Amino acid sequence: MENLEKIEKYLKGELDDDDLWEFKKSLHNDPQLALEVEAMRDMDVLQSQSLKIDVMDKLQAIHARKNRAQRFLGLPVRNAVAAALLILATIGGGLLLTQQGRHNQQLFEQYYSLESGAFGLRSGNTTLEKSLEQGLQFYELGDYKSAISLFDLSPDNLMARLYKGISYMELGQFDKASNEFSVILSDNDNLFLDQARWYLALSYLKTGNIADAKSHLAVIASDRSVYKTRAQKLINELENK
Amino acid sequence: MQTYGDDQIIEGIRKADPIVLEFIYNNYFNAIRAIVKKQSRNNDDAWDVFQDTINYLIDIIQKEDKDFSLNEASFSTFFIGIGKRIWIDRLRKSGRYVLMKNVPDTDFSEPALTEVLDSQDVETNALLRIYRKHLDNLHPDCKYLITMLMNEKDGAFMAKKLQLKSTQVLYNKKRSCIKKLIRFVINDPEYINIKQHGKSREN
Repeated sequence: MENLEKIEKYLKGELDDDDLWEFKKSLHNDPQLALEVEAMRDMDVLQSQSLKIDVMDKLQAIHARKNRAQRFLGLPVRNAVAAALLILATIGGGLLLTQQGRHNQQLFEQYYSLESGAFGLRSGNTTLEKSLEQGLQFYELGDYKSAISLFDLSPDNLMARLYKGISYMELGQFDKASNEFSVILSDNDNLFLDQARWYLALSYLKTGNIADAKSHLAVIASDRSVYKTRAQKLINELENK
Repeated sequence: MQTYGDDQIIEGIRKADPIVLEFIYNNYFNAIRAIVKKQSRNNDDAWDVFQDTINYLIDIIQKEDKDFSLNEASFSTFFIGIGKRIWIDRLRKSGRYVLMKNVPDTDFSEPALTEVLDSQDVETNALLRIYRKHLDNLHPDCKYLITMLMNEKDGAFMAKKLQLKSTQVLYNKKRSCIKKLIRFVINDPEYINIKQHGKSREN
C-alpha cells in the first residue's frame, strides 16, 4: 500500500486538478488501489459507535468466559455436569429471583458510578507509565477490554490495578474486579484504598455476597473516607430491606 | 437466574448493562447458533451473526430513541427474526445462499431481506465487526493511535503523550499503523464478499 498519503488527500478532497485526474485514472485501472480507497473510507465505521463498541466488548468477554468453561468440561462427563448445573441453576435461580436479590441489584445501580479516568490523566503526574496513560485513555473512551490489556503491562502500579478493577466491573466480571481491589487493599498504604474498598463492597453487593459487602462498608463508614456518607446510607438500606 | 421483561432488556442494551447482556447471551446465543448450524459448522459464523444482531438492534433503538417499543412482537421473536435474516444476508453475500436454498428444511421461506432489514445498517455493522477484529490484532500502540485519532484527539496532544518528537512523527506512525490495518481488512474474505456483493448490486 504505497499510496496512503495520496489516498488520504483524495478522500479529503485535497488533490489538485492534475493529481485528481491522474488518481481517478489509476483508480479505474487498478482494482487493488480501488479496494484500498474503499477500505480507507470504510474506516469511518470506527467513529461514533461507542455504545456498540462497549456492548461488543462486554459480549466478547462473556463469550470468552463461556467458551473457556465449556472447554473445561470434558466431553464424556459434559452431559452429566450440564444436567447437574441445570438443576443447580434452577434451584439457585429460584433463590435469586427473590425480592432480596432484586433489591440488592437496585441498590447497586443506585450507588455504582464510574470513576473518571481523568483523575489519573490530569493529576499532573509526569512519571505515569506510557501503557497506563494509554490504558486510561481507552478507559475514558469506554473501551474497557483494550484498557485492561494496557493496565496488565503495569502489574505493580496500584492506579492501574484500580482502573483495571473498575474496567472489569464495567465488563460484568465482578470476581476479577474483586481480585484487583483486594490487591490494592492488601498493600495497605496507598492513595487508592478508599476507592478500592468502595468498589470491592459494590462488587460483593452485585454478586450477592452481602456479608462481605457490609463488612467493607462498615470499615468505610467508620473512617474519614469520601465514601463515608454513601457507605452509611447503603448499610442502612441493606439492613432496612 | 434473574429474568428480565422485554422493556428491561431494551433498557439494559441502552445502558450496555453487563448483567442484561449476559442474560441475552445465555438466552439467545444458542438459538442463533442453531439457525446458523444448519448451514455452517463454523462456530465463528454464529458468533458474528449474534454480534451483528445486537448491533442492528442498537441501530433500531437509537433511531427511535425513547419511543422504541417492540409492539406486538416479543423480544425473543424480534431478536431471532433479525438474526435469521442477517444470516441469510451473510449467506447471500458469500454466495452460499444460492447453494443452500434448494435444500429442503432450511427455513428460508422468509420475506426478501431488503423488505425487512436496512441493508446499509447490516453492512455497517459487519464492517464495524471486521475492523474491530483486525484492530485487535495490531500492536497496542497502533490500536491506541488509530482509536484516539479516529475519536478526533488532537495530534499535538497525542504526540506529547506518546513522547514522540513531533506531530509529523506521530502522523508517520499513524500511516504505518493504518497501512497494516488496511492490509488485514482487504484480505479478509468477509470484507471481500461485502465489497463484491456491493458491486454486483450496483451493476
